[in-house]
Amino acid sequence: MHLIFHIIRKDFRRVWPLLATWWAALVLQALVPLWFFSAVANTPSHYKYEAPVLGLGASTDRLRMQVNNNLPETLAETGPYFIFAGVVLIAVMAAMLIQEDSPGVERAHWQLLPVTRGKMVAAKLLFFAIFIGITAPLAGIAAKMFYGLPASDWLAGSEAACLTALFCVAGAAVPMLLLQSATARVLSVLGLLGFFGFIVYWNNHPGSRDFEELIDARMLWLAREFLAYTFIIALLRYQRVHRVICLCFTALGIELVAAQFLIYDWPQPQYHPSATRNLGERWVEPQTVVQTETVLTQKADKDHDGTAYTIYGKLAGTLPITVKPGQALLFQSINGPVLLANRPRNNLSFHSDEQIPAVNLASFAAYAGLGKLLDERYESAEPESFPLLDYVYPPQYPSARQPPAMDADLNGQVGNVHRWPDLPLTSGAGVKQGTEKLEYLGTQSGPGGETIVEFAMQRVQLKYGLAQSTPPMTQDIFLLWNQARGECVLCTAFRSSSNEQMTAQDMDFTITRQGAQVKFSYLAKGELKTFTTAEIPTWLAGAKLVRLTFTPLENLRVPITVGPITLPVTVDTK
Amino acid sequence: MNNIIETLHLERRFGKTEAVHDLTLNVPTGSVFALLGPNGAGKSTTIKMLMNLVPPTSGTARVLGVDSKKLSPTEFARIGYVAETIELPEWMTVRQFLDYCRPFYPKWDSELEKTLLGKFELPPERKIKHLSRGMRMKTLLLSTLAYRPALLVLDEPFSGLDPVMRDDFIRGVLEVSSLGDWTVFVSSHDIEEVERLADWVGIIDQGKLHLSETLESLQRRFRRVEITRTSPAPTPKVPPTWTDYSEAGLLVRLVETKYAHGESEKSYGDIFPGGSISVQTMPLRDIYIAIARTTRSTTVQK
Repeated sequence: MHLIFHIIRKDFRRVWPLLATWWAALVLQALVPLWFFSAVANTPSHYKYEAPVLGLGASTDRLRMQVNNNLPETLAETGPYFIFAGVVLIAVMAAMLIQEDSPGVERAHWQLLPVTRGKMVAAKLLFFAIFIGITAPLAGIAAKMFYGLPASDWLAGSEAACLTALFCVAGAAVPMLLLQSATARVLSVLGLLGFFGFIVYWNNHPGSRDFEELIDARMLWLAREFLAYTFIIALLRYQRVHRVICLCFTALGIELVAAQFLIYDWPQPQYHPSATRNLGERWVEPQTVVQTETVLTQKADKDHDGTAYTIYGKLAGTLPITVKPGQALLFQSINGPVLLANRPRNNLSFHSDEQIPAVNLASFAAYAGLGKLLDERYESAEPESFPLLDYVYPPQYPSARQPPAMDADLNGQVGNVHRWPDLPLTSGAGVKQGTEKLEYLGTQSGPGGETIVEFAMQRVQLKYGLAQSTPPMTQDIFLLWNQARGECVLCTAFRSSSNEQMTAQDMDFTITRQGAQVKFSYLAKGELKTFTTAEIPTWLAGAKLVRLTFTPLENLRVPITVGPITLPVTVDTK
Repeated sequence: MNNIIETLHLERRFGKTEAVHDLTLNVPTGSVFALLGPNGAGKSTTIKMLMNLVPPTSGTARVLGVDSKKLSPTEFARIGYVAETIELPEWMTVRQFLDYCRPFYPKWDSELEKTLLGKFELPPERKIKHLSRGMRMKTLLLSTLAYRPALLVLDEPFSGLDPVMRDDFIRGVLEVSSLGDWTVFVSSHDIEEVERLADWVGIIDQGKLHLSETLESLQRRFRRVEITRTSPAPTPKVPPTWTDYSEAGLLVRLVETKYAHGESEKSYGDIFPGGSISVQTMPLRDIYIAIARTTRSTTVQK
């Protein structure tokens, strides 16, 4: 055993400059957010928690948009470079160590040293385990501890990530290092891919039955990671024998760049819309909500005349979610969208598509669990109001960045067009099929004398699977956005397959669906209000329908399309 | 163990090229055995097969009494291998390199290491990549001599060394080999240097071993003979023990391969009556050339 450590000591002397560089990069990666955020005035305190979890890029993006949209984007995009540099350094170290003691070369000095090949290989593997395999996670842990994240929050996520990586590395190493025949290697790789698929597709995820797309995304990720490792190990093996350094490093470079494209979506340009605090677009960086547990703190927020809640949500690892008064978060959970809003003086409110009249904090965990945080916290310039929830989408929809043009300018006039245009559906997780049509049917007086605007809406099916014992459910989701007023309404309706009764949700505006009709009423500040005949066209004149489509957990981006819509409403103005 | 190296019908092919052909060779324990041959004769391939760096196509080789294909760290701890082609860790200093090698060998003699470091005049703190070729060879030699190997294998150790460095190197090997009962197996085409070292000689060419015997025996039986005839005469029938036969006027030159004092002179007198006979001993280089010419002409004739 002492010979193994002797070789490890020698190898450490060999590559310590590279190791030191890599470690420095790790430290830098952990410390840059601290410096960056401290250099920016008005940095919300929660950013220091986010940085080590979300990564520098995502975190600075968010900071840039929420605090100071003039911050340079370059720093925000350093995250992938750290990853890339790390991978290159590790690959170079591996090549150096393998080449120096290459068993495939008869000229290598060690060939005649009285040490077995097993010990030599063990020394190399142990070196990587000690200085690379353990160091990187340890650095991550140190960073998280440095930023004050409790272990309970990130342990589960880290464990899963490490296990996945180990699984892929081991799976790639076995065929590439142990098998001699190229055919056997190819067959083994295919077999392992099949095995991964089996595990992924046959897991016990409660929603797996109806989440093929989600599983596809996970499988794709796993396959990419596995194939990337396979390629690297195969290349190192080839380099070990043939030591064609230029060829190997050229191939490695190409592979790494390709891997960046395939796995990290880098260096694709990221869209960074301009941010305003009161109105406008938000660049959404949704995070996977692994689990939400409980309220961590409830502190009075005098600035906003309300209570700030910090909820433990495990977002792609762990992230305490702080919801200040005047903020809202929208989750796309496996149970459907959940809106968590902290309205001033109104405490937390939850809006879900579930057939549960009142969602409380305890059940919020169940709703948001295993879901995705779609919208970041949003601060309103007017705490009393709830400005828009506008979603910006990835670069493939550049034209949709801008608020859609209105097809008709009502100018407060009463029109006679009663039809919402058909909106094409974007395929994605949960969206199965269908189109929607919403027709204005007319108004009538409600029991309390309020005006009820009636729409006929054909169903848009968003199908989600819940626990296996629960039948699939469908729901209708759309946003009404009034840009001029800075108001936004999330309209949802729900229907389970076993119960055709649609239930209204407690929202600013409520759409109640009865059969093919939707009643449009107005609920504000906990009180039922009605649209006056004058208010309806005024409000709707500046509004548009924002269609939401949901995509699987892929690359942490959710394409949300905003479709132009005309809201011609006929109102009796008597 | 009489022979520290034994090969039996050893063969190695690289595709259609036969690098070593039917090599049967015995290297006595305690000898300094020189395997001579031109470039491409198969010397290095033979050594690589002995060191289990290259597997033989057929035949067997035993080193230290162990099948060469089963050499273990135990045997390698008793074998020193020095070759110009060996790639040393160039980023290390001489001292770091010796420090690295030391723990691998239980019988590493630190005193000998210090002694050799001084004798070889190696700068211990200089990196190997900054050493001259000769110094690298001496560094490698030091790292193998320091554990007093039972078998020291030198593969083309003089290649690329200037005369001074060659002399230093040979002196180093000679000094060290005089310290113990070591066997030295050296392959080279630098015959003059080998002659100073070797007491056994094997000559290999085109993958075939042409002779293997002690240097003393070789030098005893090879003689360069010059006969000045009294009058021109037709070329006589050349005996099979003569080689490299030539005539220039009255002068006849030949190499006697089985010289026997007295008897050989008598036979020359019988063939060239009245001629003046001059018999000279031959350096190893001349013997090698004579043998090489003979074998090549035989090959050409075939």
